[in-house]
Amino acid sequence: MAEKNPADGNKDTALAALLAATAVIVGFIIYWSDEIQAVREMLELAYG
Amino acid sequence: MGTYTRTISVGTVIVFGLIFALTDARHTTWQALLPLFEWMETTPPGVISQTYGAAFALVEAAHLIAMAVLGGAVLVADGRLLGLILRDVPLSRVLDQSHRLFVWSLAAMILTGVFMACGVALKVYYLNVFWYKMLALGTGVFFVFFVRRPLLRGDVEKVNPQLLRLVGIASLMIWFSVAATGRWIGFSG
Amino acid sequence: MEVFNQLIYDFAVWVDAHQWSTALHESFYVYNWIESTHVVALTLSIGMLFLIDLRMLGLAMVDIPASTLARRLSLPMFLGFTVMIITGLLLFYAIPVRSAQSLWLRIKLVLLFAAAINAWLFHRRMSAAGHSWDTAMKAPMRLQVGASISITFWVLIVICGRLIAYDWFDCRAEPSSFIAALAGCVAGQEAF
Repeated sequence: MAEKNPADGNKDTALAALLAATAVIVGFIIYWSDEIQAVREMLELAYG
Repeated sequence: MGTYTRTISVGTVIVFGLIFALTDARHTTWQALLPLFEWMETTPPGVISQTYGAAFALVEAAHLIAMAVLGGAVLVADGRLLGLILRDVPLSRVLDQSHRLFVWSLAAMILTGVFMACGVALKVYYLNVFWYKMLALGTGVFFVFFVRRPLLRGDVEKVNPQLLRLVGIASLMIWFSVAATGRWIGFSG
Repeated sequence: MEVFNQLIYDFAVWVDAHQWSTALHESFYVYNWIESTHVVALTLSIGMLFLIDLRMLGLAMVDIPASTLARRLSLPMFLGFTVMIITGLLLFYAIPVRSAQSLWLRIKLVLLFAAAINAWLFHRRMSAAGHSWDTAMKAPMRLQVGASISITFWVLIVICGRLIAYDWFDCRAEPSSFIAALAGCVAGQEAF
């Protein structure tokens, strides 16, 4: 049985933050590069 | 295992988010929400927005003012996490003070935002960018209250500075996306 | 007044004839991104300004010495206002005639001028007040009054800015002669 160790709690919040922040950054890059790509394709269709 | 509850929860949310995004669940949920949006237009805020253009415009302005305060709080906190501003003020002090302001302005934004959404419920229902904004907002609220605040509330000086920077960047990315997609709602449809 | 309005109108028509003005107006993405930048930069300009003002009133950031906050946040604030001015001028350049005859833009410019004077007075009073009250919850009364006026002006400025997008008092909507004079409508003007 694991004792409640405050150091483990800190490790948990840190690991959770690392995971969440990485996911957010990856998601942000995917979303905005997709948006920019879509606009470029649309402009290409319009002006060639 | 039991001590890593938060990490496991974040992982679960990410996995469920991916399943939701990549399967038919997204479409089914969207269809199920139609009655809610139809009802929103019949609520008092919906009727007021549609009847009095000036009322809607004033709520829009209030939404922007709340955004300025919320953005200010985010920029100060994340700027401090990245070591860009207020370096001579203790980190925990900047974070605690700006968090309080953040909560108040978020409440004002949601209140005014719901009011506006009622006025144009069926318009935004069919706009992709509206749903992207809601997704970004949901992510932001989860990130702030379940991840960021628990990490920064305690002994913040003991947290790895690289991690603090990463969290600051992620936070800026989220709130920029919420604001930018929000503004784009007005340009679409 | 009429001569003045005619001059502004002629100037706007002249700007409108620019190729770049038309191009900017007709470019969906460039125009809307300038608009979005103008809005999002509110977080830097007014966001920082409100933090300073709210600190003076003892409503935010009370643990941080007031003059430290004011000094440290003024750089990002001015950065924000620079972005606001540049994007604001570009927005005017894209739609010059309608903007020049916007009642709301005219009120907004007057308020901006008033807010600038208030900011200058505030800065002078803050320098004169020294650092004795720095760690106090609230600033001295005179500074609190200045901060309240500042918040009021900027709230009104945001409202006017947002209302520019609405066409209630556009010249083509033929408002009453009083409003038309304030908005700068010119007799016999072509519709834009």
